[in-house]
Amino acid sequence: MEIFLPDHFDRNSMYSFISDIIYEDNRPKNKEIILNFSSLEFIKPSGITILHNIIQWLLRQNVKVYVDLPDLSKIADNRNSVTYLDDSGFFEYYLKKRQFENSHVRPTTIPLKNVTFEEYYSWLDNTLVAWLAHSLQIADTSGFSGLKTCIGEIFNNIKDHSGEKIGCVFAQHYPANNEIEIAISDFGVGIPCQIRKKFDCKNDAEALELAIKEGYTTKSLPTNRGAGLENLLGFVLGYNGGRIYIHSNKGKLECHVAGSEKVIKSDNSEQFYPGTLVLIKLRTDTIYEEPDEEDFSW
Amino acid sequence: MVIKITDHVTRCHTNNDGEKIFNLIKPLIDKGNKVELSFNGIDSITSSFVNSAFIELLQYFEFSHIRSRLNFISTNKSINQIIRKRFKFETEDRQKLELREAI
Repeated sequence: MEIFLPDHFDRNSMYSFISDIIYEDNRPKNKEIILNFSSLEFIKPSGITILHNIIQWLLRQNVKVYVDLPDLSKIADNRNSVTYLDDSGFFEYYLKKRQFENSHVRPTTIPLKNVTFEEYYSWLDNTLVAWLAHSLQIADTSGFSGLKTCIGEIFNNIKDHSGEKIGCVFAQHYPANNEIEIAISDFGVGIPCQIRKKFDCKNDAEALELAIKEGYTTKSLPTNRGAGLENLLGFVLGYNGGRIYIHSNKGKLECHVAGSEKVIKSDNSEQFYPGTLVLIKLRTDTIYEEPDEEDFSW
Repeated sequence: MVIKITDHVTRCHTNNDGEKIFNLIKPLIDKGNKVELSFNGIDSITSSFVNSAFIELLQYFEFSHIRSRLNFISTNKSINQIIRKRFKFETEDRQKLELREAI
């Protein structure tokens, strides 16, 4: 079956795309799926990780996935979504070669990558933090401690709760907005699936709200204590003033600050997202903390 | 006794990293030693690390005993906040949460 990608692909438009591909009971609709890119006009960083994640999920279900690209010779505009995808490394990953001769990783992005739990820390230091430090012209990278903790919390969450040990990562810097977007997605069982095994929640949105509260843990490890996502919120909302969006199974969560108050909005979608997408939007003016030593006191 | 964390782990991000530190400090506290853990060379920690390295000590010792025997040096603001916040929750707030669940 042939599926046309949405003209604007992001975390909001993904549900119609997913409903074309996956039944409500979480089965693929066909054993062969052709993804037609001709309708795609614009894709956000979250859209790239979502698309990558869905393809990974389909391949895991033994679905044959084909890519149908528009006539590349007629694409002259370098703002086109296909060139953006090519620059991200998307086609190199799946088709083993870049589609345009002048394709290159843009300085405002890092390459799309599947990052395993074992390698995330070196990727964090050598790729994400190094790229960000270069983009923001900061020489001493030790002041990115809050960001590093955030990424660590997300990968610990993937390892402990998703049943997978791999996350797909893509990030973009928007210098004009003083903002970076980091999208991390896994195709594991999803946070609500795990939470609802232990806690009585009426839906996936409620399960996500519970997952970000300190102290609520599925005890997937004896030492787990339900602090990781709360710690993630602590930096992004409390220190940085950024935003977090989580999509997992049928749950959607949006967190930001208004004044000094944390605003948490949850909702249920009709369509199931196979896994978890965490999108964090961080302000670049508050992402860096001066790495001064501070005496510890109880 | 001063223990430099980077002599034993290269990062403080995972449960495994934390378990290695726990296995170093618990026997020393058992023997009544005072332990100073140096975070020199470490710029970030996660809650999983803190849980496995330090919060687990609450299974064996009173909080007051841990405070009197364990100190952290060469830290930064972010590291201090995460350690303090985790201990505060586990020693003060978790009990309230469990009581609320029981009701």
